[in-house]
Amino acid sequence: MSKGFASSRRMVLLGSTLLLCYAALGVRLVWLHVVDRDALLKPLAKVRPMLIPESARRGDILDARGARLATSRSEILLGVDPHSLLPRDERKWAELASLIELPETELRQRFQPRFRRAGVRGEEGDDTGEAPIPFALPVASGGEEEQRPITWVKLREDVSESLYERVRRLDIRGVYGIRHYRRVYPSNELAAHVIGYVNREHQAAAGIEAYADFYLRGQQGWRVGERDGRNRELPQFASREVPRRDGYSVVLSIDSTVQDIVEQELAQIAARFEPRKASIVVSDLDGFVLALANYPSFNLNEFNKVPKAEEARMKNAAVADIYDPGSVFKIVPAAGALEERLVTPLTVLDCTMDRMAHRGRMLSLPAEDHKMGNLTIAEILSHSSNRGAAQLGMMLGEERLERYARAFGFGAKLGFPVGGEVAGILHPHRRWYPIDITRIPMGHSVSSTVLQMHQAMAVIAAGGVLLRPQVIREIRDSANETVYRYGRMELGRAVSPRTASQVASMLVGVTRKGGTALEAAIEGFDVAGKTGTSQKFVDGQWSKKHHIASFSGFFPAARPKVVITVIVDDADHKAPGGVAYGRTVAAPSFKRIGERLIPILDIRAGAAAVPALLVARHEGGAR
Amino acid sequence: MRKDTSAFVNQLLVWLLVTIGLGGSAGLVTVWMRHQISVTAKANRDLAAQIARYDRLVDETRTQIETEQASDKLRHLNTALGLGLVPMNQIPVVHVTDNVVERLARRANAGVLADGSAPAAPLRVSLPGF
Repeated sequence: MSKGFASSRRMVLLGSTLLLCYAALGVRLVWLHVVDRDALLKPLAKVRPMLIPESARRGDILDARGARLATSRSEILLGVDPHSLLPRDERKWAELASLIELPETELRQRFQPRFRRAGVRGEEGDDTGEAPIPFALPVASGGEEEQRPITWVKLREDVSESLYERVRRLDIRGVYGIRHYRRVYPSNELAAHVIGYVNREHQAAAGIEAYADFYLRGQQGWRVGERDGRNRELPQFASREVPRRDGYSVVLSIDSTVQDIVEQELAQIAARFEPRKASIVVSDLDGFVLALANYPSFNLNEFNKVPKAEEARMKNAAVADIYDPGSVFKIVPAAGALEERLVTPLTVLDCTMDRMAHRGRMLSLPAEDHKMGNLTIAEILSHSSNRGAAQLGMMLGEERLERYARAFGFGAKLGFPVGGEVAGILHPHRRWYPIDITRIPMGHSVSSTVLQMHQAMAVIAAGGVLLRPQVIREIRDSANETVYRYGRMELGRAVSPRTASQVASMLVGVTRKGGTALEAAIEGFDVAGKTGTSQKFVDGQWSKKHHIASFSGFFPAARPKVVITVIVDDADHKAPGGVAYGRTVAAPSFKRIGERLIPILDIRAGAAAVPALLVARHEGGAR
Repeated sequence: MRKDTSAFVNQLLVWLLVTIGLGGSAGLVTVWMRHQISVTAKANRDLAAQIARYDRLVDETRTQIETEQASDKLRHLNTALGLGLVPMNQIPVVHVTDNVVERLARRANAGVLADGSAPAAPLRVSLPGF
């Protein structure tokens, strides 16, 4: 047998050397991976891991037709680390300045490397400091006297995605952006008091934005990974990841078209009468608000530009301010007396009396604007007789009148989700003054919000049921699937359908010849409604120069489709005759809005005619 | 004994070479796989970033469209461009409450009688003897 190559000592030597090399390599590897492991990993563990937050996109607020009333747009906060700038990029600075619309001198000034003494932080609103990102490189800190480089100088904060693309194409080292979402309101002022806004700290501050923030805000995501020496993420080392969850979208019952009509009407009222305030509410028969607008209003995209002195314009006056409802309230004693079968629509009351006995006491009845005679209940409403309403109140008595007022939604919050709703004022009947039984039925000594007046009228339109006013229709997830749908919510029954129908029929007389608001009549439709004119309490007394004019009604009377309430506060100085009556100031707006809604909401005149005997037989009337 | 030792060393060397070869191959495969994993992870991340970028661009465009379609802006354009468009105030649909058949007949007959038909000639009746 051959001696073989292996017999050579050289081969043994070579094999041994190889083995030794491998052994040495193995020992070194074990040394590095086991013995020196902690010491080697310590600095890496500080530098390499990175936490990358992922902002969730805030959900949209949509109107009933799917138009976006509030949406989120990605924007970039563009900044520079002046210490990372390279001389070779200097030729691109002019182009960058032109892109971000910053004077080049200003840009060069911001590009100057600057230092700050250690321990000194930037002031609030200062555009310099450390990069406002959680994964910024830590800056070595030394003694108190050490100068720390300023690694972040803001260049511009509202850089769009497309503009940022162009900035990135310049490839200037040290110039980078931080992406965030900004809330945008495409329709500016439209439904401002309902939608609300998100402030600069990204906190929902008002309106639906605040109320539905739980659904809208979504959930931030994050991932823990590692980065290389150039601060680039190493995705293969991602150890934990929580995906972001975009916010749900909220679909409102607000119809942009209806809202726009209402806001145009408010603008017209403002131009014509220069009132202090005005509000209009439009809703359907399920309690869903189709439009709610106040004058004055504000631009949601510029909410921070509203002067301090004018911040009241940001208040949702329709739910947060209270007024004397005036004659609109007369539907309460009328419906109550009919429901209790104390009267019928054709019962005649003597409205000439100026005093009347009640519970053994002679009470003076409120004055009328003009002389009234014997009036049926229908005429009391159509002529808006104060004395007639007072008599109906006295027939009901304090306890029942209070019960019906509360059943119509007065004196308690209705549960409207936005605007800081207030309850209004309706004292318990035990605390009423004796005279109150003659004043409350005509809408004095009681205060309510515009929405309460509106819902009280909606009780008649909805067949005697008090509905919760709602503004949210649906909640949809980020895939546009409906996750929750809101339905009609009944708060209670105020009167029977029969009584509601009778009152509706009587209210038609208000807009017919002889009623107080012929101005609200819409050709081809039976309009049921009620005017209101109440004095304002100015300088400790009831003013004869300052009034609140209102009209609340619905149509078609037989099969209502829409309820509209118009309230104008203090329009006397421009009103005909110097007094802002509901008839002259608010009723025409009701008519104009109603006429424009007919084609939009496909409102058809009901076939059922309103009984003629319920319509007013007298002409005249002022309130 | 010497012969046996040589054979053992031969075998050891062969196995050693095989082990080195296999170990090296395994190492290379591992390195290649890790590289591929990194490449795939990076590609995935880049894709996700690109999708997010497109989503953001879509959002931006959509917001711009919504902003341009705002009622006040459209009204302003209507005025600025002199388009003369008016809001839909008139009722475009007439709801018929009377008898539909009669109404249609009336409309049809009105058309026939009014449109292009010759005026009726006066009827003359002559009786014998007169």
